Amino acid sequence: MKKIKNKEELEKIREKLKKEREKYEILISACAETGCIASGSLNIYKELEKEIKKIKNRKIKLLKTGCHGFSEFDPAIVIYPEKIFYVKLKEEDIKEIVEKTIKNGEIIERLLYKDENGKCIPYLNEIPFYKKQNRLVTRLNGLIDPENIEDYILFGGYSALIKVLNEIEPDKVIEIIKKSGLRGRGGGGFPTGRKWELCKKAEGTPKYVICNADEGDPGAFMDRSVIEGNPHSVIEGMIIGAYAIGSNEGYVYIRHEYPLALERLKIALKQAREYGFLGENILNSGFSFDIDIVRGGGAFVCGESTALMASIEGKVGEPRAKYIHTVEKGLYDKPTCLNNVETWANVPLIINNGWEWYSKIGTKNSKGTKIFSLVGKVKNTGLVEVDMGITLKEIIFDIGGGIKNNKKFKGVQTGGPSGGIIPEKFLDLPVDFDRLNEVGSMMGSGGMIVMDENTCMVDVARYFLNFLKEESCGKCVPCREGIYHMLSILNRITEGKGEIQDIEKLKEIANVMKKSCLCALGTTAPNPVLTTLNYFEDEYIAHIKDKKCPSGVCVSLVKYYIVPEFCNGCHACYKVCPVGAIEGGVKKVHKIKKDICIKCGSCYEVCKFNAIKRE
Amino acid sequence: MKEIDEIIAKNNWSKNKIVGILQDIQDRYGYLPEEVLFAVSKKLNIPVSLIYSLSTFYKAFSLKPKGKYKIKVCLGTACHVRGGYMIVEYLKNKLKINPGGTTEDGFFSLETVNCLGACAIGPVVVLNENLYGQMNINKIEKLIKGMKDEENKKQRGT
Amino acid sequence: MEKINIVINGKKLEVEKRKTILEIAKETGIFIPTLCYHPSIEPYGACRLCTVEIERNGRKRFVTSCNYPVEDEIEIKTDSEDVLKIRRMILQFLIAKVGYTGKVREFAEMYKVEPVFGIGNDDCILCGLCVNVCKEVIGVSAIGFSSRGINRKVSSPFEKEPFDCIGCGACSFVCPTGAIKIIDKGNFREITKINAKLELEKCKICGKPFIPKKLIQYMKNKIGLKEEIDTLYICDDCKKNVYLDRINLLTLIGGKK
Repeated sequence: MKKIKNKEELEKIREKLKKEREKYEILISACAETGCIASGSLNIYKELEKEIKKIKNRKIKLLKTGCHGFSEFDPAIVIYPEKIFYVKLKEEDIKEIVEKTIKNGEIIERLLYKDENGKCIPYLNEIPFYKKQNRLVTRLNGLIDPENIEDYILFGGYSALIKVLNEIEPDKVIEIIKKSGLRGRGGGGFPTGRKWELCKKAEGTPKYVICNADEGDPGAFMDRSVIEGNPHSVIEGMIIGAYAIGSNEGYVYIRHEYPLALERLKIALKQAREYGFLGENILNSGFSFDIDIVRGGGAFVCGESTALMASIEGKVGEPRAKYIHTVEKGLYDKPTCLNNVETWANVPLIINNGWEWYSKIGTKNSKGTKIFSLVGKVKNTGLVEVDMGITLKEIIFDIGGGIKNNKKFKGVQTGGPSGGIIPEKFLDLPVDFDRLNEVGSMMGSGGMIVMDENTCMVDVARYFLNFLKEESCGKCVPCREGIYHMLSILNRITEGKGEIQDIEKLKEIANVMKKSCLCALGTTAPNPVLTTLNYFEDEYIAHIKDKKCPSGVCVSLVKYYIVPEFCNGCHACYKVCPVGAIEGGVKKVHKIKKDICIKCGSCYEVCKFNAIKRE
Repeated sequence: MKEIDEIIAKNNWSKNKIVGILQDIQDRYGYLPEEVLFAVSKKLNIPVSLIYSLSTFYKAFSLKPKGKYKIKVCLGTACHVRGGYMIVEYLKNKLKINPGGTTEDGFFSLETVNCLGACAIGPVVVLNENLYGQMNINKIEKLIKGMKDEENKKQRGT
Repeated sequence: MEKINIVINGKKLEVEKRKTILEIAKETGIFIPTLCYHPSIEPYGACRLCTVEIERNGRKRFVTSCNYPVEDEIEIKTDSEDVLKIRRMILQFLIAKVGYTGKVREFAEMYKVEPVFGIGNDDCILCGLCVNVCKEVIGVSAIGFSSRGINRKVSSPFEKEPFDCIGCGACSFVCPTGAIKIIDKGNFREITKINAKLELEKCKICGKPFIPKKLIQYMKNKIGLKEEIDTLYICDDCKKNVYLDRINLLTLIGGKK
């Protein structure tokens, strides 16, 4: 492959690719990202490949693509041009699909998505999950093979880079990003254009650009999906940023737990170099830039910018004071511009469509779209991209379809371990950088975990503190010891050993941690505790005073027992108990052995006679 | 030792790439052998104390060999809310090891991971690089039994 | 050096731009407690005990004074109510770890700190002075931190004898809680906590084992010494006598002239 030298060559290749793709009557996109693969999507792909090979004299293209976003219904495929959407597929379904739909254009109803009322919805665009979304950054997920740069080029990839290198001065690029209103998508929300400007002005060479792909917030997989579905969008963004700032060296710091994203990124970088978009004298512009990959080592704290940079430098991930900002003294004490995956992926969009177009999307202070990972107790779990300013209610109920198993909504957790839980009364809040802060949480990187009546809020607070206890680097006293002592108190409360003074003590520790910890891991660690205390104090009181867990979660405070009068000896609970805690023969009254029972609730869920009680 | 030189060469003999070098060693041997770490320290002129700090700070590294079947249970928020913690408790009881440990026969090692990013199909368990979604206690029990049966078959030579 | 105007505890001062709050406090006689700070190493910022309250452009923040460079028009409060709350709780945390020991006891008494989280009996507060001095001043990095979070501890590599240790005892010297002890017994020096055991060189005159062999080697390397010097192998007591003799001899010669 000869390196592309200019705009005309790229156009020619694009034309050629367009003509090639137009030859195909039918295109099938089969999702192949980490989640789908776990659900068996690779086998679906192999079956499709096998069956399609048998069809002669028809032009059919099969693509392995990134995530469609509708994870709850994976493995799924989309058949173009009609955009027929078949969900929850099994290998056995493929022969039928090829016979009926591919060969004869017949739609198989049983494989279609069905809405609340059981109505089949055959076409992707009509599915409620997608209706309120605005898929800009994720628009190509599902249309391109992420391991083929030509697919990206076909859909306009790298035109932004060519435009910038040919027609726009570095300072003007910064102006455009500033005017667009783009703010950091990693959670901080710092105005991106301003960050680029500060880095450009800073003294010192070399300058570095870094992509933070550490995505540590549990429950968040936006960045993983972008890299697995469209890695070139991030690369193109970084090259443009490096050009604007005056950097020739870039890094992508990608977390250790994302092996597929790492693979796809490696392939994408290799191809970008082959085509001349990375390396020396890019597109004859005189500008040189290349990107190196650095793998994380399994430390959440390395998502913090100074800890990330320490990790790249070959040190342990200990943050340092940011009294002098990393745009001035960052990696190796040189000016460094660090941005999140989604932030970089927005850049080519802004260059291609203009800052005015971008600034019309979203709210006054939060422009553009945001990708969220909508997970937890919601019906339609998956990856959603929406305009900033959409309400929580719309995301959870219109797009998410409401609560699973028709249980009651209790709260939504946003912002990861630095965020908080937002209760029902604030569901009409618009989601953007600033509004969620008003109620003690934050939008964060985009993790949105929906919780129902069976989620114990005290347990959630305990969960996050336990998470942070494992992840704290341990350097500073208030974080290391503060988290430990807060967790001790919460453990006692969930074990029924809480005292009423504990609540005040938690608030006092929180107050000191917020002011004196070295980095944001520590200063925001109290947030889950503070928000749950604020909005769900009654649950804390129940645990402390009544020694009860109203949601039935805290193992020490919950007990399951069988009411003999209702038990008819069907033996279903016995079969499902994983630890053999139930005794009783068929047609005889059963009993739960309290000392063996691990309170998993499996028997409770399976009993059809309401004979098993939980309190 | 030639392999060590290869790994270091692949990372450009750069001191800064020490974390990447340790990752390659972990991938190659399944853990970080003490002698290898001393060798790397000498070859790259990095203090052993730093290498030891790195080896114990990052969760990706292990100073002891892992089990034949590595079980990683995701404890991300979404998986937790869907009952992931139950799976860990169950495995602790069944295998009689704590997270980070390996069974005496070297079969199973148990680890918890803080989010694999497959949240939509939680609870998630990874068995030797294979990801399993929507797990529950029954499914994991079957998986473990399956693995034990296979191992017994192999040992009996059938 | 550029000068700027600041206010510290209500007092207006003109100071050099690049100084830290702690440096200025020391120069003006204002006391700020520290545990992980030492003038011979880079400020580490781990204990957070030196946290003070600052206000600038209407924005109030809490920063560590050991590494915060002053800015123009900054207002600093080193003993506000919030600062004292922070200080006390940090000390409460440390007492819960090591009890009333060394510098922790000194500060606990100074600020009248109650053992709200209990009294521990660990020996180390993880201030990092030993690790940092070994790295930055001695330059051998024989010890480091291992693990992270609540499991963080000062370790020798693999918890075995530290290969690079020269037995200088600087770690013990700077430790604020006395967690590291030097025990010279027979022909060996043991340094507790870091598992060091070093063979001692015997004094050429009195035969007493007095200095780790590795330390002599380190000193020779440091000054680039190619040949041997007698006095390296003579213990302090004998050295005094040797020098006295030499001085007497010189005086005699001088006197004769």
